[in-house]
Amino acid sequence: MSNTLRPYLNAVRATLTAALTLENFSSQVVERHNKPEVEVQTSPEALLKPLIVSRNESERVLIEPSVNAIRLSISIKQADEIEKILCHKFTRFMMMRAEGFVILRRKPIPGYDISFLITNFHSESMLKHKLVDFIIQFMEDVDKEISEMKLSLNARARIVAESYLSTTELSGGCAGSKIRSGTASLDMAVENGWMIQALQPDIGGFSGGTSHQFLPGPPSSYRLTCSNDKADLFDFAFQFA
Amino acid sequence: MILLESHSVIINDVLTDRFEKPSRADIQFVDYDNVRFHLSTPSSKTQILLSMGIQCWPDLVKYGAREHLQAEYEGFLLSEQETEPEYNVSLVIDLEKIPEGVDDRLALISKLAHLKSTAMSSPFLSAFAEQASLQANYKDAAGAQAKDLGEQGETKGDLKVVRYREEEAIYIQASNDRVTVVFSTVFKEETDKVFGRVFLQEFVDARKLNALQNAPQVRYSNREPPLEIRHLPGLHNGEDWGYVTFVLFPRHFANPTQSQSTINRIQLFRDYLHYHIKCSKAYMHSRMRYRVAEFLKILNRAKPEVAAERRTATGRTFRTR
Amino acid sequence: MSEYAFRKINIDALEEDVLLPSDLYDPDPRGPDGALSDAQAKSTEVRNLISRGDIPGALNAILSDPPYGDGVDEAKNLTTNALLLILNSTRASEIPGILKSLGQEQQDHLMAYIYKGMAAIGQGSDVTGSVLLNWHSQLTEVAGVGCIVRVMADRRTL
Repeated sequence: MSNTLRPYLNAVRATLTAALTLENFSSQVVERHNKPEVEVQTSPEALLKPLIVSRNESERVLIEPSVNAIRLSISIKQADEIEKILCHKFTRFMMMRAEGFVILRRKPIPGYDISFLITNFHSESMLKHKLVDFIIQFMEDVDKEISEMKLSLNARARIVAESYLSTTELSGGCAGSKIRSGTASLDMAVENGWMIQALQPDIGGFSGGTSHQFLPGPPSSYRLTCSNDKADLFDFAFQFA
Repeated sequence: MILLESHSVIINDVLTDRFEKPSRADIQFVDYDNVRFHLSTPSSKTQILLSMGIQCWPDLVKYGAREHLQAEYEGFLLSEQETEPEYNVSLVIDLEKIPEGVDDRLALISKLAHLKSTAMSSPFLSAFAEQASLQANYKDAAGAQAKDLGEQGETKGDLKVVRYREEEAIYIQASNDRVTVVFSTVFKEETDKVFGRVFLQEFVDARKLNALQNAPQVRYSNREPPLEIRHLPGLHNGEDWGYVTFVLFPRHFANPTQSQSTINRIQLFRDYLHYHIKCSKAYMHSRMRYRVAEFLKILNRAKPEVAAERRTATGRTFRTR
Repeated sequence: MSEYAFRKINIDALEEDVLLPSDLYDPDPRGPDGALSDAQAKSTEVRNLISRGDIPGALNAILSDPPYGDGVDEAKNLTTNALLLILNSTRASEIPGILKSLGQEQQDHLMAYIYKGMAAIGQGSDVTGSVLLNWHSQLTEVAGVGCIVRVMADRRTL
């Protein structure tokens, strides 16, 4: 974890803990109604001062406390177009499942990517510190998830492009790889380890059902073993390289 | 499966089966780019009629598809009058006249399964032929009028347009030292657009690898069509459009086998690109599903566990209120 | 449609006993002009103290009787800028000692200014998030979560 993320999350944690002091509060306007005051905004006396915790321009959290509910909105880092679309997809995916996430708001408030609404009923039925843990965990993982998705997209794009062009060329070469005689395993020089990791879940998909396995081989390479015959292995390695 | 197969698996499987044991069939199926197939036995079990409907048939005919198919499927192809209605090409396979040897049969099946790619390859083949003649003329002329040609730079053949989908087309142009193939493709969705750009950029970058130095040169542009086809009317500009240019050099189609595999590969480019965009989206989706399930688990940890029912000494249960 | 427009009128706002944000606290007794001159004097004093290296003194001065409420935007800006200048020019190792020397009310005010500074990031402010986050975590350690609660509950906007 980077050095500035930790204090950022700590500040959010402290602010959230402070804000989560909620009590039951019936509507002042309509009899027998009980609404989150932060959403209806009927009276300034039930609202508290909204606070912003921010790390830089793109990453910030807005916490709007009120007497019986708090609204927490997160703006997630989006460095480029890909991250923007991944972030949008991910938050949309989550918000469509807001039914399961009882504290998730179905729509983010303008200027932010995702919003949570925690009412006094949630804080009564759930453990407060675990709720805070959840928010912190979410903030931590969502960044990680988006950057991992981006990496795997790039890795896939690269492999796809290379395998297409290498067969167009028909040179039949699999650079930097050799089949070890006797065993059906093969060492392949791979630029980056994460490329393999990114593909690991996909391997079943494009190996046509035979079991291929990546094991760390000699330095900066991965050993590929396969239960089928050598021709199949070569075919796979060739497509992969 | 990282690469797409250029033949039709259904034709392959059905024919393999029917060659062994003739039986009735009436199957309609499709291939990439809205190509329709109809495989039937209208008169008897041993007479298989295989028809194909292809959207860009008028374009293909212009570039000699009919003649090419005639040469490839000698003895199978039906004339235009006999072609099944609503389809463009019909082949009849008489199961009593097919060769006996296993290898011969496999070769025949494979050839029939490549019906679509064979039909689609005619504009490419004619462009390759055109390139060869242009190159020969260029050499002849170079000796005599080197000066004039030096200014003119290069000679160009006709621009061939194959509208293989409703809005998307392949443009092929031969010139004295290369054949340029331009694909136009539309990304219907915002995500496709962004993913497509990532993929296309990788196609451009991949060529920098040493192992792929001999691969065709790839360029891509979005918003604006490339120079080769910019003069054509009715081209789309805009964020949703992508133009991919492949530059094929004579070494890519030096002999018939090589040119055939180059053609098979390149005509599936659009399908390949979109297939992998869809694959990536599916992968992202499964990742998100997993991640959201994880988040839900973390959130549910916040719910206190329900205390187990307690019993009194006599075995009765009671509830605290 | 215009005959239905009256349905959208918020009749509660026209009531006589409606609660306005300004009813929730007493205005600054100094008045806008008094607050402004006060803020100007303090901001010069702080600059002098910083140049002499007296950070605790500067912080002490700026955090006592800060301007609040409506109509004193200029005074607020002056005070905020002076305070952020102090935060920026403090060495990280000195922070805990300085914080302990402050009174509770001053700690609350400081916390409010830290949040104000964070809200201004990305709107042309010259402080970085890491400086403010560092102060925030140190202050939370010294003054506790109660300090944040008091900031939220304080109606007087600094």
